[in-house]
Amino acid sequence: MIPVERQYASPSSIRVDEAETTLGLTANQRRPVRFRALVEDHVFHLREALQTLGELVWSGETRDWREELDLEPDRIVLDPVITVHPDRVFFEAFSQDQSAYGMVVAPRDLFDEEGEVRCGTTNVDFTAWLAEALGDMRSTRQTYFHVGPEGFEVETNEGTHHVEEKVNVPEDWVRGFLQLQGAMSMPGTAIEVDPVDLLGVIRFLDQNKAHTSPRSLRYEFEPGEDARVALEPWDKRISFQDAHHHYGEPKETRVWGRQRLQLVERLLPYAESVEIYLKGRALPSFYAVHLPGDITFLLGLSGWTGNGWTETASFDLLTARRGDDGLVSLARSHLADRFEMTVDEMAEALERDTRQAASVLSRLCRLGLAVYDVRARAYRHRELFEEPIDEDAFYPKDPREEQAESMLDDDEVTIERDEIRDTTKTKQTPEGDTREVVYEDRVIQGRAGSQSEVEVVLNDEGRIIYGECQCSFFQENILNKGPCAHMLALFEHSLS
Amino acid sequence: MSDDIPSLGNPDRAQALRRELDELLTRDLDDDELVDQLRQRLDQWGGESRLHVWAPDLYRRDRDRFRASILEYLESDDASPVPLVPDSTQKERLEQWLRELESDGELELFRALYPRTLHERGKKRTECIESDLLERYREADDRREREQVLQMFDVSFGITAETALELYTTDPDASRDFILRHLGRNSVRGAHDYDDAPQWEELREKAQSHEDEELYFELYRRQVPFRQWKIDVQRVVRKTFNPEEMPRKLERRHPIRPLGEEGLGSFFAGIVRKQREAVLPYVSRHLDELKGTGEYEKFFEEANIRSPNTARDQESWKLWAELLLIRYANDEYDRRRRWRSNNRSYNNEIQRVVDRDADSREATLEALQVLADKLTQSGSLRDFELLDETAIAIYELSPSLLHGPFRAQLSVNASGNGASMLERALDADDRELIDELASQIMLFQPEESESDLPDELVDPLISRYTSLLDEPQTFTQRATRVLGRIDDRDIQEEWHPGDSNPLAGLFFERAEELYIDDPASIRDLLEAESSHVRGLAYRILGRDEPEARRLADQHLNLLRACLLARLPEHVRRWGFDALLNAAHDEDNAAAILQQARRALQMPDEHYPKDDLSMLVGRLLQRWPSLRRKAEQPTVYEWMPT
Repeated sequence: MIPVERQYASPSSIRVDEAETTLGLTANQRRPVRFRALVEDHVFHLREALQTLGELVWSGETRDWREELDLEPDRIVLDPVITVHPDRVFFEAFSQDQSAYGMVVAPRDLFDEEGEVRCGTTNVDFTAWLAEALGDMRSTRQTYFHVGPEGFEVETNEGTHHVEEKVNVPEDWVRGFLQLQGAMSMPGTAIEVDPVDLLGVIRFLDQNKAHTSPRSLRYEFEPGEDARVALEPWDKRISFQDAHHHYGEPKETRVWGRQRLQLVERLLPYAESVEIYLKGRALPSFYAVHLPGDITFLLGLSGWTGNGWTETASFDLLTARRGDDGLVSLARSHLADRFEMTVDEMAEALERDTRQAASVLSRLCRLGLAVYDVRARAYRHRELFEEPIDEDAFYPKDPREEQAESMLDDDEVTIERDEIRDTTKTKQTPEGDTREVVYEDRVIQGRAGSQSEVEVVLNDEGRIIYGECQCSFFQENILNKGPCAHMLALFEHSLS
Repeated sequence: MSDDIPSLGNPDRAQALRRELDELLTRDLDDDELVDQLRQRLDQWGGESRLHVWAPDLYRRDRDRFRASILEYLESDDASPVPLVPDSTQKERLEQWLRELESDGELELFRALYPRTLHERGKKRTECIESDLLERYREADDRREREQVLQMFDVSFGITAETALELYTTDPDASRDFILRHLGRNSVRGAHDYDDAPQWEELREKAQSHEDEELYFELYRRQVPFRQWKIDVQRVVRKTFNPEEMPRKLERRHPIRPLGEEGLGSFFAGIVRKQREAVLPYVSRHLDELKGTGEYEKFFEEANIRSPNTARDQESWKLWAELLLIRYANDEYDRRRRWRSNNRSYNNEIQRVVDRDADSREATLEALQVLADKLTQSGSLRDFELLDETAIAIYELSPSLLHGPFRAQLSVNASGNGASMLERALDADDRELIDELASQIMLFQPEESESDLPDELVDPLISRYTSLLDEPQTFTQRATRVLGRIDDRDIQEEWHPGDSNPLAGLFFERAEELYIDDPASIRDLLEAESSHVRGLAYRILGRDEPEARRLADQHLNLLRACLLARLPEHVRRWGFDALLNAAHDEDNAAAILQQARRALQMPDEHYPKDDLSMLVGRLLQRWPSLRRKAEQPTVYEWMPT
């Protein structure tokens, strides 16, 4: 368990009268972020996005998994976090059952700020009652948005009701949170779809109950055709009108966790567009719903609930997991100064190559010190906890890592070939033209332990994107559960 | 018995099957096809009864090739147990095959087949398994061999103390998990076949001396006498200084058999009083075990929930609030079955705290604020409703508490609850509360007689709101706030605002003219969460008059949502009318048309597509330039031949 101190000067509140609404979100006093502003426009869309986040926090929990994790019944795991950056304010929450992650992004130019702004990240008191009371927000009233540690008493003559307690957050839950976010930075497929089409998916699923497996969404990409999705087990296909993709060959990606797509249903009638990010078969998928006012609600679906997520999600083995702590510390400091950085910018700041920069940024995500912005393809500074987590205790070594280490210690790993291979892929432009794109992948082949034919292919950010091995683990799982021990050993050896 | 199904032990049938099998094996079939064909034949021939014919033959033919298929079959539901009265040929062949499997080291196949060769039941079956197991276990030379033996006999049975003791004494590390997996009812104190107490105790002592906590505590939980358990729990409570360790320590000692012992309510209350929140997760998880014994009530009586005499600090109030929730909100079954009585008790508890602490306003406030925190944090707010006297007591203590979290528990009903609170709010001109109560009263739908709608609730509100009609803007501001509080989840399916509820009639019908004169109120209605309230806005914006068209145009961005949002059918039709009003120029019409065409393609069985087609048709009729090629009318002219 990770102990987290909750210290709130008073509960968060919403005050509504005929002319004004004030949403006062009390920040944890131990992490004093300050932001006071008048919402100048799009109050309604901001309200809808925040209420959706509230639904994500307060829905989908089951008592069973709470008992599994030894949690008190009926208790929120971790209050949502809010981050104030110079260009945006964003809220994040992870559902109690680990099935869904939500982020609301609102640009700062939506607000007319008052007084000093203190950037940073803090937890906010965000109860089920408050999420419901947000329904009182109306764009016809002046709406003030206050975040601060001082607390907001509705009627000051009652004195201050201080909240102070220590809650224990289960490591598995936080690991799930961080791994899901980490998945955002993985390479994958992005398509822009009309909100109506996604709504069609949700309505169909709502009106048809699947009595047999599989219960996945199978995204299909046929060259020259719009992307589409097949709803299993009915094989009902819904085409995403004008959703262009770049595949020159047919491709399918199956993802799970579709029932929780319902969370965004209320937003879709007002949405301008939706971007879908797929990271691969059985991996998390992300849906960015863009609302007027440049407000975005990002929904991440893990595809699992409870412990299933953290047990299965060993795909973070695809990147280098350890490294130079000094470099991590330096990168953290650069990111804290600039708030947002791309891999190239970090490489320049650290005077390292992009592979090392990407690796160190991934590690910051794993440590809860950064979050990846799928749309801007950049990393943002966001420290989830007051104190950094203990990486060794928090991410115990995977047995495959231990096996790989033992192969390296016993000198059983040899690289026989290490070269850059140009891979040319035919891509289609939205206009229907084809063009060729050349990828420079690093191909490493060699021996590891008992396996004589091991291969890993790394992309330009040093992430394993492909591999092969003759061992039973690989033959059974391919890369669905991350690389096998032999691939890991070869990968680690290539870094030394 | 049908002629098609071979009788047990019919040698001709067995021969026939063997011939078919031979014929199948000579065909050029891949493994999957072969197994499929075989399965089909097994179905025809009564599958399991022929196991002794086909399975050993297949195995001997090519065990590597057919191992997985045979195993899959043996472990599947298709494989029914072997008949009670075995045929001698069948028994002999299967036993012979079992011996072969053992000598070939086919552990998995052995384990799958072994139970099918046993024809004993109950205690005799256990004796048989244990005898076979011990015979081989004793012969094993080292740990690896012992582990293999245990793997072979890892079948379903409840191990006896004697066997468990021998396995563990010989090799604790190899046998621990096996013993844990096979502890059955006979290892639980109080079970009818629990008769080896001294040997179980000896095993427990051995586990303890071997520092084998897992086995030790598993046996402890099964066998500890209640008296000893209570002593142990008290010791843990007294000596555990880190509260985070408490639940785990208590949980691993918790008896596996049902509690229900006399005095346990007091016992749990005692440890709660000593260690408060540190033991609550543990206690709350096991309170259900006391239900129906009288001990359950005793626990709450003695754990201070009834009379928190000593409560003065936040910690004490937290405990009080926590117990209140455990008692009245946490049990799904009780919540439904005994909701009325639980809700009454919840109200009584609040009353008791307010009355008791009449002299100390600060302490009472603290108690209620702590309770509000617990309720909001746990999402249990809506599990309770405040009775009038409780609501008034809270209001008199602090209006802000009732404006805040407790607002969600304000309730009115046909039997008149809410009338006194309403009267109090009207006296204080507390608009927040008046509007909240009005939003609930508006949903009343009298069914049979007028008496279903209590006058004391409706009349004062009608009078208060109609007095505002002279100041239209004040009225619409209040009205939109009232309407904004309506929650669709509280609306009955056949609710028709205004039909017989004069308050709803005022807001939904009589005031229509006022809304149209106040554009801000239209926007408020369009942003409401309730689809019925948005419907009111659609209805107004769909009126055939210039101001409605102007406002529909102005709010097109919100109005367009009626094409896609989940709405009752009649509300959606009003929305379509409003969209027609908004389509006063070609740009608007094109924008609406684009989304309407997309909505037509949406796979939504409940969507009124006919009405949507009508909307598209009317737009195209009005704006012919927006017609697609296929949408152009074709005029056929008659040509004389």
